[in-house]
Amino acid sequence: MKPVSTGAAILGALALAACVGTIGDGGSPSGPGGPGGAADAGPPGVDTDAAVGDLPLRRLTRIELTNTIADLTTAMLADAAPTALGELAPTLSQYPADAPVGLPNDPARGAGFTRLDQSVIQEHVDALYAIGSAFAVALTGTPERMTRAVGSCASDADTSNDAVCLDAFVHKLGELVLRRPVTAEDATFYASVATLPLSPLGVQPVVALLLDAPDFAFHVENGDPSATGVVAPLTAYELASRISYHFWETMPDAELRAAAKDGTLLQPGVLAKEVARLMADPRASAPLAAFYAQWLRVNRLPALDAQLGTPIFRTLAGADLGVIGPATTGNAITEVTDAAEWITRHGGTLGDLLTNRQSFAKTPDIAQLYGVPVWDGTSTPPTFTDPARAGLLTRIAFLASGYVDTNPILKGVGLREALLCDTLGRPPAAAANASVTLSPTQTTREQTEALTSPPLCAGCHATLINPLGFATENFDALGRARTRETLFDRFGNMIGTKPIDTVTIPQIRQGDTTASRGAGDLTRLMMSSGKVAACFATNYFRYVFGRLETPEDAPVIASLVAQTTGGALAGAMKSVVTQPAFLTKSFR
Amino acid sequence: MPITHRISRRQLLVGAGGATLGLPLLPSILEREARAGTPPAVPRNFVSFWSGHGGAAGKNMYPVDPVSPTTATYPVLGHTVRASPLALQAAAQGSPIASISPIVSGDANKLTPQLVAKMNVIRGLDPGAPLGHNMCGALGNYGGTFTVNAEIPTIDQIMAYSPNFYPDLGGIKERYINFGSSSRTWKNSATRSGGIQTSNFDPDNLTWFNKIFSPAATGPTPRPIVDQVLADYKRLRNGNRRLSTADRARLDAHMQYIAELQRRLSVHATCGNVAPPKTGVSTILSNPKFETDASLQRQAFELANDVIVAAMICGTCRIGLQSFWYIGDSIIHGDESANYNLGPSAQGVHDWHHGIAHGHFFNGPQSVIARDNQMNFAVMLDLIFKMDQALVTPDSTLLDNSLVFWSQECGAYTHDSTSLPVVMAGGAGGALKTGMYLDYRNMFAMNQSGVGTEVGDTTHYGIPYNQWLGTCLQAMGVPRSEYEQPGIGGYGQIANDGFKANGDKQNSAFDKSVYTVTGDYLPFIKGPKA
Repeated sequence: MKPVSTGAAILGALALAACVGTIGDGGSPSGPGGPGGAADAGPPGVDTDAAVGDLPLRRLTRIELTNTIADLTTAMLADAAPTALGELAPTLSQYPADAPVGLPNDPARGAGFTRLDQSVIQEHVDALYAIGSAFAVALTGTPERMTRAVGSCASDADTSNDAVCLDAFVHKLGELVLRRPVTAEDATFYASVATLPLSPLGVQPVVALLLDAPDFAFHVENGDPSATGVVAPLTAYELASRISYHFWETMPDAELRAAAKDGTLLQPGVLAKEVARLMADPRASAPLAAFYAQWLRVNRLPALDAQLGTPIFRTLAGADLGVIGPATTGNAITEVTDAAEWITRHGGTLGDLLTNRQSFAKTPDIAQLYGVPVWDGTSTPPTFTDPARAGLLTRIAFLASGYVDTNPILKGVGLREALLCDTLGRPPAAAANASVTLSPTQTTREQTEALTSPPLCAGCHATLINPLGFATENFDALGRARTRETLFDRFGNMIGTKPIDTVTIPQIRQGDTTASRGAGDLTRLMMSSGKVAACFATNYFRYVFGRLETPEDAPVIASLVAQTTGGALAGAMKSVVTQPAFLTKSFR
Repeated sequence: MPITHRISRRQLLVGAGGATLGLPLLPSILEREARAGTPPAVPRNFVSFWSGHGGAAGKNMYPVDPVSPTTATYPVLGHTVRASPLALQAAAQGSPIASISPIVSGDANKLTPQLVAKMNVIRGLDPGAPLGHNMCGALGNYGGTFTVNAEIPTIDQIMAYSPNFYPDLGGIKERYINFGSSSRTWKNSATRSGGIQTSNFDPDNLTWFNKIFSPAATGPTPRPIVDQVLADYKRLRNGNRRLSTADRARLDAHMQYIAELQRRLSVHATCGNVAPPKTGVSTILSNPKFETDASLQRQAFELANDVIVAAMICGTCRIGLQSFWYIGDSIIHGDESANYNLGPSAQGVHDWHHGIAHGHFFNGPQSVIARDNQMNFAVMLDLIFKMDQALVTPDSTLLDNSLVFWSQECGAYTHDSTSLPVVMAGGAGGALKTGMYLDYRNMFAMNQSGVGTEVGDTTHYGIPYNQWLGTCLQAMGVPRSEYEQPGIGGYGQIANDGFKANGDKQNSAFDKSVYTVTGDYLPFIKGPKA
């Protein structure tokens, strides 16, 4: 029988409960089955279990597919590629977008890496089939493209050379599409669907069939055929694909293919040179930005223009109202990822990432909110003028709420989970009915403290969540520095101010009673704890390997921690590819 | 004025965007009925609607409690459950609005006594697990922020891949049409194994229309290669290239999808001169006013309704899924954020999510919730009205042979699963009785007292929602052996101890013994052709 209860909708008298969660050392919260590990269900609809342990046949992500098609088209059609890609765009969009896969310490709130989404649904297969057909048409749809793609032998009057022409085409396109040499069996198989004499309609099935090949849709790795045992070294071609898709999210370029073809890529020196080349290339920017945005969870920043129509928000925004628009949210996120990329590319460390005090705002809205000039994207970025702006934690994407008031709870949860890799317990169901509302008499901190004071809430909020959020309460809901909080009535009229209090005991490690005066102290405590380095290492591992870590991965992560502690971020990132886990494939 | 004459054979569905779908009902529909061969003779269809939050107070969601309901004793739990005729409330003569309750109300030309006789409103169905951010809870996957449970497929997918629901796929172009994201399926749907993932969904009516009614190719086309694609995968799967066991399993799953593609490519769904809708949902979604214009939102979902009805009339798909997920807060609503006039109680309201949905116990926000949920019901009303205009046999409509229901994320209190509301229509080909207000609450087991809130809504525990899900499956011809666990009747998840340890009493789980009696149809609802 169900018990009879008269519980109120809002938080009432609830039993005291300690915070249920895992406050660890910043590394992996658990392996499978541990607290917060695979025993937790992931967010609905994402493929969490496929992302644990050895990952079978990684599929192309949507961005990988899109980039690869673009590179293939360019390789085959040269300057005719842009038009063809325009024709392909609607079909390419049918390939399902990748969802961020929940991390062990945030299984249901939507954070995670899209690379970990390895689900395959019917739509993937349907879309690939449609893309294959569309790509075939795009490649051969005009006489000029037919000649460029297949060769003049396909369009000349002599049909006696068509078989040879077709074989050459299968090898040419096949090596790009399959990302490995085309065997005689392959050539026969793919050519079997062609119709001779060659014509666009006759050759299009060949193109489509190649695009529908398992070696195209998946990162098929068979390992060195001479190897025995369950773990085999990758072949040079497989290694070329791994580093290319990791750093560029696309197929290997000609230089990499050449190093794979002659086998020199397997030499450590050549590999290191190629990795350095790939990381220095502009094509590495987008994947790098994606890693930082997804790790730091700034990609979940709420819309900063959602409340533009409300009187209170307009009053809050004041002179900055005019610069806030639909692009502001994205600009704030980009400011963080640009900062991270700049620091990474300029030899910066994790400490630099947290304490850098330069503005990377390339747009007027964010620059104005910071009170600095717009950065041109290449020269030395301007430095923040406000001393309160202490580094990463005080960038707008870490501060703004999308509302009129700040959200210290979400700020605290975000820092605890993203940067410290701690696992917080799930809130009780009734908690979601409790929200901090604007008060004409209390600051947001005071309101939050009152709301979370019941024992059931305070177990987590008072010790682990709120203090991290309160540390940056000297910035308002738009991320602008303040020393006093403005109080509003519900019509948007300012009715007073109260002083800000940023002093907390953040308990970076549970039980530590060291006090923090604000963002600067909090940053120093976080860095000195070692938890941020461990958290970075764990998350970068996930990003590289497209899966969650297992206990067997501890050496790789430990190596990353060592590289990250005081060392350059770029060095740590490059070092991953020298790890046995990156250079081999398991066939268990 | 009620519409009294139905359109048979030659259907004309007028799309919400002014588009017209000319849908001649072809003899092939009857041929397909005959080909199915196994009961039920007329294919049964399933449609679900889902909207976010909940928070609708009982007085707004349900009819007034009847004076003399028919009663029965619910086994194991031992409390009295009730059934009473579902009726329209008295309205002023000439009123354009007909109402069962403030939320279950709409155009009097559509919500007629005849249609009400084909509906049920059900109260007192509890998932028995805390809900929140669970888009799939109404269909059996209660997973979300507050629930620690293994993922399971939703009932629509149980149907979609059931040989009893689809005994003959010969005319089925798509197993389901999913406009929302409230559905979960298996990674390997064909073998119903391999973990759970999101079912394919797309908000666009034209996308689904083109899938169902593939436009004929113009001009010469290259030869189809799907057979060779499958052969290529087999070449890798069974060849001498080294693969792990997991690699092979992934290839196996992929080949099942290719086989499904192969099957669908061989289906040529024709339905006379059916013409694509002139207005695409994607176009409406791109309207900058979409998020704050309820009429645009409603138009999008009604356009989606047209495709579902057309597919079902033409016999090319029998499952339709609508959820209001692509509007902020997953519910049709207007621009309340710009103009709060909700009274002093709503002081500090920020936005719809916090101010309205999570402020439902204040009178001002509750009135907005009632109005907005009514707009969501209106979309269901649009669909069932259209389905009831289509005769599929001389004496029964598409609706008569279907089961359509709407439910929400939570009960009367957000993040409280007690009394997940269900509004349903259609008799599922005689499997279900309709025209009733079914109330399964235990009036001696109070959940929320409402004391101290402006709305003062009192809620009571009821019976497992899982029994409703099992009822749906059985009504659709899926036998219990296909979806039940031993000793656990019905379908859906059961709260685990992890949840109980959370100290939350307001969503307490049922004792496991209750699930021994939840395998049968819900009380009062079993029809003569069940």
